[in-house]
Amino acid sequence: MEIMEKGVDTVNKVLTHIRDHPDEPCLIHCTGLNAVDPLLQDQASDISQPGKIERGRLLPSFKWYGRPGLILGFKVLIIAH
Amino acid sequence: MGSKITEPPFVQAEGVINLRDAGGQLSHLSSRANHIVKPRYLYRAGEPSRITPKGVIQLRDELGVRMVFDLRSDVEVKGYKADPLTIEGVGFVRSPVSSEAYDPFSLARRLRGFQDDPTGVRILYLFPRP
Repeated sequence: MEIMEKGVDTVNKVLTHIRDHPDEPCLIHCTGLNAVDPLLQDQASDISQPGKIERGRLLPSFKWYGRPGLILGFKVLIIAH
Repeated sequence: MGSKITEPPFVQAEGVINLRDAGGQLSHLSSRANHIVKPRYLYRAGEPSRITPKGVIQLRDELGVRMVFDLRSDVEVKGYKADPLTIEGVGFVRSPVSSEAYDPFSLARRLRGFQDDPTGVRILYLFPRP
């Protein structure tokens, strides 16, 4: 339940910014794919280059895990992270 | 899944992974039915420590970002040697949502329980530390 407790604090900080600075856009970030593993570095770095990578093309990189359940987890990350 | 990651809602700041505009989506609040999230105001991204000088200009000057909320845990910051970012003219707030790591490797370890143990869902989502 820790994430829920700390999450409330984070949400409050963001909401405070939205309320007090409605004209100042903000960015929320967590880890993301670029900090995952050297095996992904090359591909991940290409994401910021227009036209190079489509969603889902990173999935084959996760084959070394060999478990469908884990690959499913990465699908979620790619979409939601 | 067919749309490109370089097309909206994704936006570009060189060196920042998976950067996208959270705006333009319908509100899930019943009291706000038919309302949409304000576009070009709230952005979401992966860890941005590899941002390039061009990316700084894109993020700060073109997208207008003035505040960055870093939700990573301390474990993630240390483990991946990706220190919190500093950009002139942009504020930064560290606000870890957990003491655990939420990178794919850590998540994979938790998902292993999801596959091998019928109680994995409960452990993964409700009681991560039994």
